[in-house]
Amino acid sequence: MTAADLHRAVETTLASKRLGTPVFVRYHFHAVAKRAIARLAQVSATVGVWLNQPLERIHAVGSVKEQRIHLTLEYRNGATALLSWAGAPASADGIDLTVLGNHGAIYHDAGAANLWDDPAQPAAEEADKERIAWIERALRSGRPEGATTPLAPSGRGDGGEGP
Amino acid sequence: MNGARFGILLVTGSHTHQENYAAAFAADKRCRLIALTDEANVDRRRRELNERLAKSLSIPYIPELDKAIARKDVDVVSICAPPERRARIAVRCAQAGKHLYLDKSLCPQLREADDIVAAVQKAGVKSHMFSFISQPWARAAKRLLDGKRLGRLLAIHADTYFAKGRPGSAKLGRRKEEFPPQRHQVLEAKREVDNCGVYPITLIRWLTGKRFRSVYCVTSNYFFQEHQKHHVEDFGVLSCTMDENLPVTISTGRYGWTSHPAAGVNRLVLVGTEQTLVIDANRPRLEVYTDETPWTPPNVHPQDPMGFWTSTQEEVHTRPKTTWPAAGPRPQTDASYFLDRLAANRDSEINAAEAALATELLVGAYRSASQRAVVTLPLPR
Repeated sequence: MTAADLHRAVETTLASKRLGTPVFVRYHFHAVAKRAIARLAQVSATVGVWLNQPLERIHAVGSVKEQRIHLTLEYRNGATALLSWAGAPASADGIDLTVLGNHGAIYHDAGAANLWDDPAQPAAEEADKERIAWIERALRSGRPEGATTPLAPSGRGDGGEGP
Repeated sequence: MNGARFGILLVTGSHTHQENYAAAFAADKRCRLIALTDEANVDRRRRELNERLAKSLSIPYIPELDKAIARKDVDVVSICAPPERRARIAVRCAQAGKHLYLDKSLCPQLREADDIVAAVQKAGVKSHMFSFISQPWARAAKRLLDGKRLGRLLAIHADTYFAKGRPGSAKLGRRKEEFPPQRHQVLEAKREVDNCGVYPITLIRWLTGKRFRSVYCVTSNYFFQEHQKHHVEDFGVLSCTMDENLPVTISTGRYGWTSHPAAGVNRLVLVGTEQTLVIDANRPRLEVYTDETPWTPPNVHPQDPMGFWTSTQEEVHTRPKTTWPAAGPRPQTDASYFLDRLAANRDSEINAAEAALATELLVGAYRSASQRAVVTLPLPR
């Protein structure tokens, strides 16, 4: 399974409105350290689509060197997300996911994946460079960081981010 | 001690967790319930609820706390007063030389937590705050961590959600947090970062032995207008660091009866250099599907719309959820754990000092949420 397969299933479920309005995402994944921040940027864009709100602030802890990073994402209309990456061994697809809506929840973890799977491959599209820079700035400062310049809406991103 | 038995005094009665704690003590052959008591000036509703639980347990109600704790046949006091009254009661009981069994979280304010810790230490009594540490899955996590199966611990990610209440009524939008919090518990709502979050906070501190050094917190109102009406959060996220920069994330709150097949999510992801472990309170389990009528939420109890208390849920005939029967070892009750420690003349692993560390993190979390900034610990006194 690829991450894109899993993301598509989440998007289909959210589109059904069974969860009501999505308000929170917990997304933990394992991957090799190479391009870890780009992968976090990709995932944060995907989560922005699910939450359907502009991202306003990022608080980041960790580093690629330490093999661990987590992000707290705050969205304009109050939604939040916790994204975390570990460069350590994982079971199955290596993705641990919870999406909460105001009327229900989606869960996915290794027990719901193919147990023989290797860690899921990332989506094919390139990560937004400005989003990568934003995450890197949050990692350097250790403080919650807003966007310095408004990001252009991307085709599938959570467009319209900005201060 | 009263021979081989522990005399238990209950502080505060029905519509608190005392309903459960009293039952656990009563079921333990080492215990004898002595009486139920409270502060003399409680309001009429609280007094009636106290008398109701005392009557159901066939024990006397002593309306003056000081008279009750003066009794020589009382060894342990189980304290379930509302958060704002807990500290002063705990201090008085410790000063009377009684061991303390404490509802969670310890108390709302840092100064109060310090007072409890000082009183307990001065009196030389034992203390324990209700926690998950006696649960088999928590013990398993401790064994796995202590056994170094993970290699070096890289991160901990914890989620604790209570699947109770009828969701979907909160008006969605950004929450503005207040500091200090003006109330932790009202009839319809509790501060859920405190109420639910104290579990993973306590557990992670117990598992790692490390201290929390910073916290960034965002509180939210996602589910319930009852919480929003009283300006208390129903959900929150915490991004923390512990000693040696160990990162910890916690998401916690109350999210509705039908968002989970059992009582709610309660899990830890322990990320190590060699292995990642998911410790889940709902595993191991069976999954059972039948042609029975599907589970539906109970009617709303006007005195307890969020389903906080056992007695109110019995009154609205709440059916047990049966899709995921537990398949693990039978858990020890938290009360039994504390009695084991008392019998061995050992303090609890979650004594007042440990509970106070959780209070400090929670206070820091609310300060962080109000300032929208990272707060470093320990907090200034």
